[in-house]
Amino acid sequence: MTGVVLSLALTGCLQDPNPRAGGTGGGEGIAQGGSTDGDKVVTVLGAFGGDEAVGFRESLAKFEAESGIKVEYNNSTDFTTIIKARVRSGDTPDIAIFPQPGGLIELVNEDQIQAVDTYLNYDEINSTLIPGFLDAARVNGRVYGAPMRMAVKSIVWYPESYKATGKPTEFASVQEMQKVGEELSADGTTPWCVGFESGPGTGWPGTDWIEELVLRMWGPDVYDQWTSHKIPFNDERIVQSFEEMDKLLLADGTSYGGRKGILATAFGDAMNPAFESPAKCYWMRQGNFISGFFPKPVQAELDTAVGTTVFPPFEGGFPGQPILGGGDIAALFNGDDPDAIEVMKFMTSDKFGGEWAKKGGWLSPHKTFDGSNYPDETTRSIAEMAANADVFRYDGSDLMPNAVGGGTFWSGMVDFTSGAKTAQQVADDIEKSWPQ
Amino acid sequence: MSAATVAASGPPTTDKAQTAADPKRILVGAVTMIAVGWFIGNGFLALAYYPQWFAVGMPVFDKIIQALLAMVLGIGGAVLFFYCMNVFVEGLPGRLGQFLMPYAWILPGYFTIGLLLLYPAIQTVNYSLANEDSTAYVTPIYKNFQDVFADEGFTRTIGNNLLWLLIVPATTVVIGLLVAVLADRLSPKGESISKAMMFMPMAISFVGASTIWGFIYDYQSGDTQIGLLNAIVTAVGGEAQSWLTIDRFALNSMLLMVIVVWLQVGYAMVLLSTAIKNVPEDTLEAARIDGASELKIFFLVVIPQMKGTIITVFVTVFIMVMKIFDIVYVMTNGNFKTNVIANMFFQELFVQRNAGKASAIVVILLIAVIPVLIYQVRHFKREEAER
Amino acid sequence: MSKVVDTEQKRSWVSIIVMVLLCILWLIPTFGLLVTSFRNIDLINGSGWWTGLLGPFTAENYAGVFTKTDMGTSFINSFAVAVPATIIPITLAAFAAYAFTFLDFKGRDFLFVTIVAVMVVPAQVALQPMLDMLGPRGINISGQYVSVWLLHAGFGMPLAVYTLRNYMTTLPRSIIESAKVDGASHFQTFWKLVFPMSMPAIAGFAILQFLWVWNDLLIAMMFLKPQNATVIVSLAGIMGTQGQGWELLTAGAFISMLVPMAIFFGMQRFFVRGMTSGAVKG
Repeated sequence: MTGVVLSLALTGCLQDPNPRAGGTGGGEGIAQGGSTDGDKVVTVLGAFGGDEAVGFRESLAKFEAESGIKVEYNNSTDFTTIIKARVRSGDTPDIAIFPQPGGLIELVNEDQIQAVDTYLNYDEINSTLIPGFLDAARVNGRVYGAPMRMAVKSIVWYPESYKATGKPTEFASVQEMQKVGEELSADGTTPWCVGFESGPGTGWPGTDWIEELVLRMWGPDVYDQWTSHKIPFNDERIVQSFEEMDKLLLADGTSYGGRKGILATAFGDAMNPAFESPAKCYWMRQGNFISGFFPKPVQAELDTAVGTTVFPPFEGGFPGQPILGGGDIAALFNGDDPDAIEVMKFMTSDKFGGEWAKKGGWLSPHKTFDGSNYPDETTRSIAEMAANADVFRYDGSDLMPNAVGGGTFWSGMVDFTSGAKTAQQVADDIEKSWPQ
Repeated sequence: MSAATVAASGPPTTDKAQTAADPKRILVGAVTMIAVGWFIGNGFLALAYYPQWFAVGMPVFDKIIQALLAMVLGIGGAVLFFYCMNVFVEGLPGRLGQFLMPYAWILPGYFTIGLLLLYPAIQTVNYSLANEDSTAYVTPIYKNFQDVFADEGFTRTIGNNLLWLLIVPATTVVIGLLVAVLADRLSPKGESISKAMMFMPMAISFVGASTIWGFIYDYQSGDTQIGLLNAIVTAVGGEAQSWLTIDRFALNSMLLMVIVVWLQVGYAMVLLSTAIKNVPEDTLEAARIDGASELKIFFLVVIPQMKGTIITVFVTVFIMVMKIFDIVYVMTNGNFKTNVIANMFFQELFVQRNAGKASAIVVILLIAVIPVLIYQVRHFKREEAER
Repeated sequence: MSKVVDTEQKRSWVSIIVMVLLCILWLIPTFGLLVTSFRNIDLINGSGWWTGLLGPFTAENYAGVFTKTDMGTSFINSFAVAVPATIIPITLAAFAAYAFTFLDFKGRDFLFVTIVAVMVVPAQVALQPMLDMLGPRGINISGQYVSVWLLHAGFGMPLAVYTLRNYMTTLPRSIIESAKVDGASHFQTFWKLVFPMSMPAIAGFAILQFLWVWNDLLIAMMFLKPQNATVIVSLAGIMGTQGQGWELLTAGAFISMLVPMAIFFGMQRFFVRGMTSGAVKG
C-alpha cells in the first residue's frame, strides 16, 4: 500500500528543466563538479580500458611521483551514458576524457565544464597541436576541452605481398586507386578488404568511408556544414558521396566477399585475408588503432609486414590533403581544484604520453611530440601523415548528435551496403531522424 | 512436523474472535517494530556511510564483514521486524488486527517493489506524455504514441515480438519440463550432472553466450568457415550463408530465438524441478500398479499435479520474452528486420535521447501485458474455488 | 513386484538416452567456448574451434585475465554483492508470498496482479530515478554495496513473490489449517511450517537470483565504485575502446562461471522429493 501512496505522491512532477550541478556557487564561471578540492587526489573517468588504461597510468607515473598528486583513473565501457547519468545525479569526476566531442558539447551547454582558457595556456597548446583539434571542442567561441590522444583514420594499409604486384604504393587521387583497383581485379584479386560488422555498432566503419569521401569531394567547409546540420543530410552532394562509395567498394570485384562479406566480417578481422598467401585482398582503409587487431605475427614485425599510405584526395574535389581522425578530449569538471588543473596541464601538453607511445596504439595530437617515443616506423609515418595534413577533421559521426552518429547513420550504412535501400533513401531517412 | 508440536512451541493465543484490545501488546509491538525498523535502516546506512566502523584493516576481511553484517541485518532484521509486527497486530482489537495483518506482511516486500519498480513505472507513464527531456508535456498529449506507431519499422517490430512470444515460451517450457521429468528418473548423481549441463548456459553470463553463438553463426567470405553452422553446411556441399542477415521467413529471428531457448531452459528446469519433487511418489506408484503406460502417467498424473508451476514458469518466460533485449542488441542490434520492442526502447532512450518516445514504448508494453494479467486473475478465482 | 521393477528399468533407459542426447546438444556451444578460451587469438580468428580440439592449447587468455584485473578482490566483491542480494529479497518475498497465499484481504488480487504487471517494466527505466535517489543528490549511498543490494532486491522481488506464492498454493492446506486450529499465530505457522516446506522453491529461486546478480553488468557498473567492482565489471573493463582483448573474455566467462555452478550443485540437496508427502502421512 505504501508503495502505491509513495508513487502517487512523487509523480505528477516533471524533471527540472535546468538541473543544477551540486555544490554552492563558486566564482564566475567556475565549474563545480568533481570530488573534494586540494586533497591531492584527482578522479578521472574515461572510456578506454585494458591495455590502454595501463598505458595511460604509466604515462602519469612520473608526474604523480613528482607532484605528489594521486590520479585515480577509471573507465566505463558505456562512457557516454554513464557520464550523463553521473552528471544528473551530481556524482561527477574531476576530469573526464570524452571519446567524442558530442558528449562534451552537451555538457558544456549545461554549464558543467570549465573553459580551457581559464586554466591552460591557450596560445601555447594551440601552437603545438595539429590544427583542427581545438575547434572540435569550441562552443560559442570558447574552447572547453583539449585532446590528449589522437586517432588517424585516413590510412590505407597494405600487406607486404602487395609490393610484389608492382602496383603503386602511393596514390595521387581516389580515382587513381579506382583504376589500379580495376587492374588488380582483372588480375584475379579483389583490391579492398572491408569489414563493417561490430555487434550492436555494425555499420560504423561505413560511416567513416562516407565522411572521408565527403571531406575529399566537397572540402572541409561543406563537411562542417554537413556535420552541424547547416545543410541537410540528404543534400545531393552527400548522396553523390554515397554513390561514389558504391562504385569504389560495392561494385562487383572490388571488395573481398562482396556486400555479404562486408556486413558479416568484423572490422577487426577485415585485413586477415590480406595476410594469407596468396592474398585475397590488398587495401584496407582504417584507423591507426587497427594495428592492435592484426594477427600476432604481423604485429611482431609490423614495419615489414605492412605498409601504410595516406588515403588520397579526390581529383576535382578539395585540392589539399585532408585527414579524418579523432581523439580523446579531456575536460575539467572541477574548476577550482588546483590538483586537477595540474593534471590537465600535464595531460594536454606535448610532454605527455611517452610511456604510452612506447607501448604502441597511442599517438600524440601535438606536432612537436618527440617521435622517437613511437615503437615503430609505421606509427611514426602515421604521425607524420597527420602533421603534414592540410586539414584535420573529427570523425563526422562523432560530431553529429548521438541519435544519428551512433544510431541511424550506422543502420543506414547497413541498409545501403546490403542493397536494401538506395543512397537517396538512406540519406532521406537519416535526415528525417536528425533531432530538432 | 506435526501440528501439535507447532502449537506447543508457541505462546498460547486464544481464538481469533478476541475482540478486546491488548494495550500492552500494542505498545510493545509498536515500539519494538519501530525500533527494529529504525535500527535496520540505519544499520544499512551506516554500512554505506561509515564502512570504516566495520573495518579491521584488511580489505578482504572488511568486505566479508560487510556482507555478513548485511545478511544478519537483512534476515535477522526482517524476521525480528515481522515478529514484532505480529505482536503489535495481534494486540489490536480482533477485527482491526485481522484486517491489518496481511497488509503488514506484504509491506516490506511491496515497499521495495513500489520504490524500485512501481514508482519509476508510474513516472514513465507520466513521461510518455512529455517531451524528450521530460520538462514539459507535448501537444497533442498522445504525440509520442503517434510517433511510435508512425515509425517505419514498427509493424515489423511488433510482428517480431509476436513471433517470439508464440515460439519461445512454449518451447522453453516443453523442453524444461522434459528435462525436469527425465532427470528426476535418473540416479541422484546423474540427475545433478545432467541438470547442471542444462543449467550451464545460464551460468556462462551473457557475454560468453553471445560470443559462442557468434561462433556458431559466423560467416566468412573465404573458404574456411569458423562458424559451426556454416562448417556443417559446407561439409555437406552447401553454400555458406551469412545467417543473421537472412530475414526470409524470419530465419534470423528464429536463430536468435534458438539462443534464448538454449539459455532459458535452465531457468524453466530449475523451477519445474521443484514442482516435480512435490509430486508424491505414491500417486505414481498407484498409476503404475494400475498398469498405465509411462506416457499416460506423464500426461495424466504428473502434469496435472505440476500445473501451478508450469503456469508460473510459462507466464514468467512469457513476460521475459516480451521484453527480450540483450540478445537482439548484441547480435544484430535490430538490423536485418530482427528488431524487437525493447531494443526500440533502448535506441530511443539512450541513442535518440527521446525520453518521451521511449516511455511511450514502455507504456505500450504495459498495455500489452494486460491480457496476461486478466488471465492471471481468472486463474486465481478458479484456484481459490478449487482449494 | 517384479513387474514394477521391470518397468522401472525400462523407464530409466529411455530417460538416460534422451537426457544424454539433450545434454550433448546443450553442451556443444559451451564446449566450443571452452575450447576457444584455450586458443590463441589468431587461431580463433583463422579456423573453427573444432579443428583445435587436439591443440595447440595456450593458457594465455586465462593468464591475461589474471594479470589485467584484480580477480581476488573482484571475486570477494561479487560475493559481497550477490549473497545479501539473494537472501534479502527472498526473505521479504517469502513473507509477502505467505500473506498472498494464506491470508484473505481486500485488494489482494489487485495488489498481486500489479506485481505481475510490473515484471514487464525494463530495468533501464528505473536506473535514472534510482541514480537520483541514491546518488549525491539523494541519500548518497551510491558506490557502496548497499545501493546494489537495494536495487537487486527490488528487481528480483516481483519474480520472487510470484514464484513463491504460486509454489505455496500447492502446499497441502490441511496442515496449515490444523496448525491454526491448534492456535498457532501466523508468524509461527509461517516460520515453522510454510517456510521449511517451501525450501525447494526457495532454493530454486535462490539459485536463479544469485546467478542474475552475479552476472549482472549494468547495475554493478553504474552503482559501485571501482574498489567494489564485481567480477563481471572487471572483465568488461579488460577490453580496449574498440573491443580489443575480447578473447580474454572467453576465459573470463569460465572463471566467472565456477561460482554459480558451485552454488547450483550446493543447492541440489534442497531438491529432495517428499518434503510435503511426509507431512501428509504424518
